[in-house]
Amino acid sequence: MKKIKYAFALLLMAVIGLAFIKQQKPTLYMVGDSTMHNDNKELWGWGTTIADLLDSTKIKVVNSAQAGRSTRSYTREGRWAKVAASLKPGDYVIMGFGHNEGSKVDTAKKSGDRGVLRGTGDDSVIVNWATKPAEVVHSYGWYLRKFVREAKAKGATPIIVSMIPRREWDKDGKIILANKDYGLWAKQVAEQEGVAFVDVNTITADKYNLLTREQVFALFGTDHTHTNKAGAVINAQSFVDGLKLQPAITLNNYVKQ
Amino acid sequence: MKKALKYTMLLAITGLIGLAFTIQQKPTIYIIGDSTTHNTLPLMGWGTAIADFFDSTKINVANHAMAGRSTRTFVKEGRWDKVDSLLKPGDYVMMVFGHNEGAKPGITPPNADAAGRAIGRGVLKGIGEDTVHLIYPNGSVEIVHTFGWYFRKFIRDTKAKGATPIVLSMIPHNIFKDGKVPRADSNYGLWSKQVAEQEGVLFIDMNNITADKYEKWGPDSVSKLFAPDKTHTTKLGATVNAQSVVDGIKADPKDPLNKYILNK
Repeated sequence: MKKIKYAFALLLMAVIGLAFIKQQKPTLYMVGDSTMHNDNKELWGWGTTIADLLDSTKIKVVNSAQAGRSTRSYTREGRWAKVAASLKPGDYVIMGFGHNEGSKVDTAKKSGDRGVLRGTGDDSVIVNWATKPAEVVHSYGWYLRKFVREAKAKGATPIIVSMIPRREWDKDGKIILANKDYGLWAKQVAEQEGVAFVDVNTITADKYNLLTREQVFALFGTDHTHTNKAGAVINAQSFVDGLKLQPAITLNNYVKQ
Repeated sequence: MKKALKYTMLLAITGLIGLAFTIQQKPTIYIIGDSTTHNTLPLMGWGTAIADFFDSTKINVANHAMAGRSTRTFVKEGRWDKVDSLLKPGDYVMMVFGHNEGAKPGITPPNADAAGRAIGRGVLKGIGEDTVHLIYPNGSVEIVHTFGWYFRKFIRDTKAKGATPIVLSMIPHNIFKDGKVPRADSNYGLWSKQVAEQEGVLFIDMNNITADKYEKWGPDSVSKLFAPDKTHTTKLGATVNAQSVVDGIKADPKDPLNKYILNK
């Protein structure tokens, strides 16, 4: 009789425990720059508007992107380490960079602290700051690989995205793609590491190409890079469009309806 | 030497067999349109009924029409791409739309659902090159063209595949006004005809041919051809409209489909 009581108590505890585990929603971390996270006043990033397209009863969205950051400065400032420390098995990390990577690696210039080496190689340079500790600077691909591998090590699912397009047109009147530099390298790293890649750059560019220039201008702030809320909504939808083309990515299970 | 001869013979035989297969391959009539062309029983579209009028030993009929679709949504959903991908030289494409085109394109309901997603099907009127560029509340983007633009696309894509496009005007409604059946000759029927003329392709005026019949028969008989609404035909109505298409083919000796019609 006593044995049965114990068995019941154990069963009850197991059920309660299970309920707690089930209640724990996964988190989607957004890692990127100002095109993912902005002031939410005049300018918006798509890492904020994406929350409207996902089922908030099933997944939580944390927008950890930070304006002005490159893969390098995001790492150096400990922002990536903070995200990595928060990751639980079952979480997702969307990583998208490209707007702040291009500056020359140079201690003499103000923006010299965020530029990276081009490409996806394992080459690196040492930067000797006058007042700060020396810094090893790697390639764009190296930083993405670091994010991917550390996310995987935590049991989370990394998804690499290409940067959103700028409102710049080529001589044929088409939106200029990032498919020769950061967009290409992002894709290559995803392929090398065997993780998902969503080509937000091309998907959104295809949309802009269906619009008039006035309509595209109306999606941006005063410059050619930063989107307002309408532009952020379009780019978030582009991510979901690309996600749906790859049903194997389990993040699809969290898209609304 | 002997070996070379053997190989040559083998090649020749393979070639002949291949040729035989190619010749035996029947052409296909692909049909695209809406619910008046393809429906589910007890309703039927004319695109289904017309198969009985053709010699199935000589030609296939593939009805790819889909209920509820407009020229715009037929393209947007990839239905046209599917048909286009199947086309072989010598095939035919019969194309007819008009019942689901009329809503003004926009980004608010009924063009968008509660989540702001694009569900609009209406097109711009006429056959011009004007466009409207839509940004939906959910962030999707769409360019909408005129009725005629979509037909030009179907026609040109079909020709590019070496297939023959045939444009039809939409079936008439079960409507009588003072004994007359209203014609589509001031909108979709007219625009269909105009595009066919501009592109130099065959046109069959199913709308007028069937409406002439309806006027002879009167509302009581005609209502027996329809569902309890004014638009959708039963099998009988589908057969009447299919017969009208055949009438149109027979009235034009240049129409290459004449050689596939069963002589009943």
